[in-house]
Amino acid sequence: MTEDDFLILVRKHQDKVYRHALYLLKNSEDAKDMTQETFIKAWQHRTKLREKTVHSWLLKCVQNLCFNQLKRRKFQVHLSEEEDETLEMLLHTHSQRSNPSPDEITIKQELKQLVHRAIGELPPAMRSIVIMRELEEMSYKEIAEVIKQPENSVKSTVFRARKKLREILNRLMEK
Amino acid sequence: MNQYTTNDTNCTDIQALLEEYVAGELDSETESIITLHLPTCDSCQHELRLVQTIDTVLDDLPKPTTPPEVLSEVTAYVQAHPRSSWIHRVFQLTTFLDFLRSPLLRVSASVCLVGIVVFGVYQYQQNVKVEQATRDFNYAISKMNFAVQKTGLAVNDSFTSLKVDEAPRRALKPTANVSSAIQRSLGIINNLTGSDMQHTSDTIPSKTDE
Repeated sequence: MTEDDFLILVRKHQDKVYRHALYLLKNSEDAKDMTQETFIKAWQHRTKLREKTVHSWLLKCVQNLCFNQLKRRKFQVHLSEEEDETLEMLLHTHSQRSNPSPDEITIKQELKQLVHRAIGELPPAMRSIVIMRELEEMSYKEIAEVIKQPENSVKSTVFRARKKLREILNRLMEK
Repeated sequence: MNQYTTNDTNCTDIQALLEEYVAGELDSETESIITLHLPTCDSCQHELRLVQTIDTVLDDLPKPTTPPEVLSEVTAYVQAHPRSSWIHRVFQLTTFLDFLRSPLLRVSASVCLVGIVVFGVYQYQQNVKVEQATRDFNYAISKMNFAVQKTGLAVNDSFTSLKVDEAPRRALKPTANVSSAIQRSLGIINNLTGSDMQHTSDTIPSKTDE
């Protein structure tokens, strides 16, 4: 693989890798570092990369790096306000794009923030699967390739994660 | 506490299946039970709204793009480390092993390997046969040389005891016999080895030629 080929690959996959890191770590600086590290590792292992499997390889790599980062920093289930800022800003700007009424914006905004917080409270492995399924719209088969688990297991994890989200959302709404 | 309360165990079971219900993953019988139950139960309706809300929000999560500095940093790294190190060459070997994960390629590689082994064994056997034939040939040549030497000595002995006037007459006969014996031997060796030994026979001096 030449340098040019590799940089084309980086441009193609960087957003998915970055988003995965951002939703897992909930910190843009850390997500940037993990994305860079993922592609540096990909360059170092470029002879192993195959067109068909490069996407799942990159996601597996960023997932592992993020899990290690979470362990290193003794990442708590409840995130600090500072760590939440980036995504909250994104959620805010994202809800203003569709031009709804101010009330709708407020309700939607609150709901999104609650769901977002609920996602943040999911265990990292479960969160990673939710990101792949809901954000990147990957099939169960594709996710199974990334996490090296059977397709049925992935499917049941997705439903368990959604039930868990509902439990957390219920709890957050009661507060 | 939730303002809605679960009526009975039926509600708990139904609420546990609401994600699958919304995703359309249930069998038709279970789906119809839930569809009939929902309008009659506030608690289950509340849970259904939550499931639908989560579904909507998840479908509409923002998709941030990568900051440009990531690409520039990666580009800088790639340009600074353009060549393969020895470790990458080792990885090339593991890549080849990965390549063999495909069943078709695995079968092809096995067939090639077996072919190479069979060809090697065949070549070895041919080599052993050639070596054996060479040894046999050398043995035959040495025997023949020995016979020629012995015959020559015998003839010389006979010549010394002959009278001068008998020598030409008696000399011709045994010499001719020896010469024909050598020719016969060479003919047999030629037949054995399949090579043309005529030139060899030409080099052997005979009394008649003299």
